[in-house]
Amino acid sequence: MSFWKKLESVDVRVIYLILWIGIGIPLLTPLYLPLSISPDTVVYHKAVEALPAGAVVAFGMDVSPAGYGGELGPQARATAYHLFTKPVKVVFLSFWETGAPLIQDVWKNVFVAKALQNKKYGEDYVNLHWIPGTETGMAAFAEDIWKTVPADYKGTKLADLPMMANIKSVNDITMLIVIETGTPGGPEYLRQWQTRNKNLKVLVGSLGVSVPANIAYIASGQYVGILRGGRGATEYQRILNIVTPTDVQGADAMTVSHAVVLVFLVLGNIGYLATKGKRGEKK
Amino acid sequence: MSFYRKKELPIAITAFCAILAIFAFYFKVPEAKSASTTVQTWMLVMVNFAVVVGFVMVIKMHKRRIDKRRPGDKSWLFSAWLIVVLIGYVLLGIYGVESTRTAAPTNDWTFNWVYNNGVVALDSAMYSLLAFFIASASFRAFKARTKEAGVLLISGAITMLYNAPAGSAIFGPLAQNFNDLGDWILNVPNMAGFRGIMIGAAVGAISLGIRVLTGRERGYLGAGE
Amino acid sequence: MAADMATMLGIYVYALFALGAYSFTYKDNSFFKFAEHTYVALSIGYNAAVAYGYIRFTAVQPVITGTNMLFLIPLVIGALFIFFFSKKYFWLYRFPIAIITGTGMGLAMYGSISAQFLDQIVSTLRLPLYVVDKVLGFKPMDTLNNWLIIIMVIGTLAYFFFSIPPETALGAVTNKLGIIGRWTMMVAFGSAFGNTVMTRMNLFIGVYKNLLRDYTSFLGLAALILVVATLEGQRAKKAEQKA
Repeated sequence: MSFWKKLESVDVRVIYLILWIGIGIPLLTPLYLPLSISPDTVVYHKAVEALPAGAVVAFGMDVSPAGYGGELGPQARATAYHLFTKPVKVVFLSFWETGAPLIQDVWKNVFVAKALQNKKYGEDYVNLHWIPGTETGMAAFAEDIWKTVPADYKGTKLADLPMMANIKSVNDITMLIVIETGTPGGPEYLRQWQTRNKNLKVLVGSLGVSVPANIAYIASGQYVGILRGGRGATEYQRILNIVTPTDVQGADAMTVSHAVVLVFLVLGNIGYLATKGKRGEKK
Repeated sequence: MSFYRKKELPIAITAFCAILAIFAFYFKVPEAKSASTTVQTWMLVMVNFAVVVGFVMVIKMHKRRIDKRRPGDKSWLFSAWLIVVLIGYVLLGIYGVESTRTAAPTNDWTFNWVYNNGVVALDSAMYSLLAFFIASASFRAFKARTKEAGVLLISGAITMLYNAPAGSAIFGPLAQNFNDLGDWILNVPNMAGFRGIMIGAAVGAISLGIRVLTGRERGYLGAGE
Repeated sequence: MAADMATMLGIYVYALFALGAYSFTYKDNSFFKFAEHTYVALSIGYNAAVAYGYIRFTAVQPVITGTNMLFLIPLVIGALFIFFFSKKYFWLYRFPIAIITGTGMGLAMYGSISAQFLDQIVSTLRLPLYVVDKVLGFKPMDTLNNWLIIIMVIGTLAYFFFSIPPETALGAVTNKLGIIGRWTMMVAFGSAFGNTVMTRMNLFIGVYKNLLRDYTSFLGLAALILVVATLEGQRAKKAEQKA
């Protein structure tokens, strides 16, 4: 059997083991590989930076646990940190029941918690927790927030949260930042919120897999900015200067994992081309 | 069959609710807007009852597996475990809601602990299994058998290098040119392709909506007359 | 002390579930089945608990306290879902479905027309065919890109026109445009594949990072699962050979 045939018939578990070892190395010792910052992340950062004092920002934590653990958690924490360093009011909410508890996990991050020391709950930020009904919930929320959400995550009535006094509908919101896993997510917000408030600026923190589709909304101006998956999160952390050794290891692991898949792709195709001629002869 | 048992009445209700929502959006009539928002708020309560259907179906399915168990076959134990955990976690959640007097059961420490160490762990692990299958598929299945497949693979390879934080560094002084190529692929052909697909999908969604409103699409009402 | 123990226990439970799920890549085994069944149970249990909390405090509470008796209506209609399991009264289940589908459909329709149809078409048609910068003058690359986008979008749409016979003049044109669309979509799907790799790898990296919080739990449980899976595999093989 030729070398390429032997390679093609290797046990698939060897491939899995190579992945475990390959990704494990940078997670154990950071390699400090270089990182460039893409224009998309710069635009996202500038959009948040340009928020005027007193602006109301809706922070849609529409994530699944898997998405949060991978790419969206770093995006959410970096974005929350950036918002809390600015004199803006933040309304946290989620249309995913799995995303709502993770709002408090974002607050626990070391950088976010430090920024929160200068903020007061109820006056600078609130957590409206989970709103059911996916797109219908978004529409109801956009029309009348007080009718849709009777209380915050601790059961405190909106009347007892000072910052909510002037936030009654989507027309009172300056910017929406949606950290999305899937549906309901950005497109649903566009359909229900931006159709009602044409001036609503929308930023999206996207999973890598959703980036190709979301770029169409960037090009049409419906989204003002986008964080492209794990790469976008890493770049944003670097711009904000909130990178930890774990984040560096994660970025290095991302590079190594892509390299491993690329090598497999190239080897597999070289093997295919090398054995293609021989397959033709056999016929 | 009596009129109220047939599908025509629910279809009429579907059409009415849809037209109310569309009317309230396009025509600034305060009464219609208020009625539409009220219906939507009621809907947020109604949709939560749907989980009962899923809950009962899963228990019925696994109870059937336990009832049909054969000697020597231990797989029924997993079904029993599932039922115990399912009912247990729901009861823990109800306790969390009642003890904290809030709608969020995660305000209870125990329920939240199980969520963070159970649900999050399992959800993340199950979805990330695909990482292994993508790696093995890249080696075994993704072959450039045709020109189109070749274009797909080249585009995919460039995107992977573009997405990797240090991917462009291998090109040395040409790193910025490579990044520009990656930007171009994302913002020109990729954007154009997905925009075309999106427009087509929107047309499909609108036509499906019209079919549902006019009663031509009845699958959502279940089987029967 | 209790918090530390809970954290440590949490790390072990996390590792058990994650490695149990990953053990499927080695071979199907009891740990994977345990993780799989626990996942289904906890997911549905979580959704049910959250739904209970919402109904309890949003609808039931106002009815009990008398502040908003109108919530009786969604409570009664929502309760009709239970008739999904009845052959005789299944028709009652259709009423909440009709309201939910109708409202959702109406909201999605007007939103789709605007956000995903008109806005996308308008932004394509608004692309300048001759891009000039006030300072730099004519910009050839931007101009070329705009032309390419317009042609590629039209090509992609033309690819899905199956109702025009290719023998006609219009059919021949849409056929040619469809070829452009096909190549455009190949590049787009390649880009989608590349981005999917990033997402899946990041999901795995996220779990891997959490597993490395404590080497004892990671390596110990990994070894245990490997041994059990191997023994189960050997036992299954022997049973197959006997049969």
